[in-house]
Amino acid sequence: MRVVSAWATPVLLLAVPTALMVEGRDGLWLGFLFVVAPLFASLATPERTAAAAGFQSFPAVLGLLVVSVIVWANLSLAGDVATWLGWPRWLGVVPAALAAGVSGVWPRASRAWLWLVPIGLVALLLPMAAMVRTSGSNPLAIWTDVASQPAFRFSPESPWVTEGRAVGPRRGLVLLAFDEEHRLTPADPRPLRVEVNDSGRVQVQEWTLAPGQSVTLRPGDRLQLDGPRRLKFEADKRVPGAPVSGTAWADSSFVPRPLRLLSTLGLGLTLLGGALALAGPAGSARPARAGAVLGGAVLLALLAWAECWAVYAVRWAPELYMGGVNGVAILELPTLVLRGSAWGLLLAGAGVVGLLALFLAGCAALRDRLTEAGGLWAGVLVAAAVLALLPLESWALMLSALGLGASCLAPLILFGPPPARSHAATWALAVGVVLFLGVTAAGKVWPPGGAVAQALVAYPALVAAPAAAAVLRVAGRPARA
Amino acid sequence: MRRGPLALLLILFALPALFLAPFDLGAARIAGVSLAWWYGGAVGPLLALVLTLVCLPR
Repeated sequence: MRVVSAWATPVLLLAVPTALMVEGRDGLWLGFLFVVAPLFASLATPERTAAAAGFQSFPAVLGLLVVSVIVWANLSLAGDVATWLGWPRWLGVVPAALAAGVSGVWPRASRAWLWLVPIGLVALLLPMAAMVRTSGSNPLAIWTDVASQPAFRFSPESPWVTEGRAVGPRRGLVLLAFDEEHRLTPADPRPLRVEVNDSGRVQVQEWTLAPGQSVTLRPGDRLQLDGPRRLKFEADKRVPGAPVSGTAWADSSFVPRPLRLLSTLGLGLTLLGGALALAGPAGSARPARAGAVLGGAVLLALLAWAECWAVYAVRWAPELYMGGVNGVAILELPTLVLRGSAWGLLLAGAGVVGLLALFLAGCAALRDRLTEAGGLWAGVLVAAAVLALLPLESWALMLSALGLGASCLAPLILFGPPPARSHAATWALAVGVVLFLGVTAAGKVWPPGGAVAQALVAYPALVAAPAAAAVLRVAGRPARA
Repeated sequence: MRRGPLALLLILFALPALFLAPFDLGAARIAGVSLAWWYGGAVGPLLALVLTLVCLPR
């Protein structure tokens, strides 16, 4: 259960329905890895790893770094939730960090952390059950319905049609591409910037409309959004940004084949290695069968939750595609499915409470993981909370943490240090870290062009983990006489 | 590497193999849901858990 709690933190969990919504069929890979990676770690971790591997200061520091970035990612998500609710960012970060700190200081709370997992699970499954009941059909029927949709269109009852809702990113620029003629009514007085496509010639035009005035966008036009804008859309028109059709979402891939293959490998290596890094050094013994049953059941239940959440979101709220699917915004789903009911808001709140419970359970498990680093939990929390005040993408942080673990700690856990050459382990770790950071930095300085380079920069563990493993294998060979 | 983790990897990588399978095999519908979604969303993860339980020492 410790590995499952450390693994199933809100950032990783929310990434699954987001990936399923955005990537459709390809998103199944992340969901499958979400369940299999910790199971793989529990089987592949050699027994009595800590003693055998001689985890000295360098691996302990790397373990501390991996755990710190995971905590940072989750606190960053808490900040995103606060921003989504219209609050200042610190109102999400600080209470979450304080709760994680209190659970570490208060002995009774730290012993009861196992109970947080079922509490979180129930709080997440409750809104799902309510949505299944309200919709009147089971998730399989909804999936079939979604997969046979000729297009995703605004329903006349959609809040984006009736009253207008905020659309657009919290940071950066998003282009909303329109495939058909669409009447758009801004609900705020700011000017609209539109890339107008005039017979293949693109011009950026800025229009300031009087209150209540509308503008008709033509196929090929793109609306520039550099922040949230309250807009009213036209009923029965295609949702800009949504997949072309239900079949395209359910059965097609949106990524070119070479990039897809490498991305599949990269995500697989990152998550399998990251799970090994989380399970390894502190877990000196393999989990008991009862613990594995319990942990596996929790993972399966969370996967089922994520899949149902994604399918219901595509069916009942395709508007969430506008401006890019946001992991936090999909928590709003109960309010969109149970339109007009006061329960919707309460159930959306239950989802947030469930994520908080999983975060606290994850923190307790990660704190146990740090015991070898000398109990630096308070320091980790403070540093992560300060960094989380900066609005960074939580999923990117999580991938970095797992990628770092996969690049350096996972090969050492899997193969163990060569008994005859104790320094080889340090060299392997150094090679893993340097390559991981080097590829990441190179990707920032020289943005990659080709598919191979893009995948390597997105998943630096593809380069770093095999190199670290090779150092260990070469050093493990017996010396020639 | 031992057999258990290898078998788990085989179960895992059967999903991308299904995506690449000829004749769009992954899109074949069973009880209204595509084969890829059945395998990646339910059967595969369940199989992985059962295999883990079988391979763990008593």
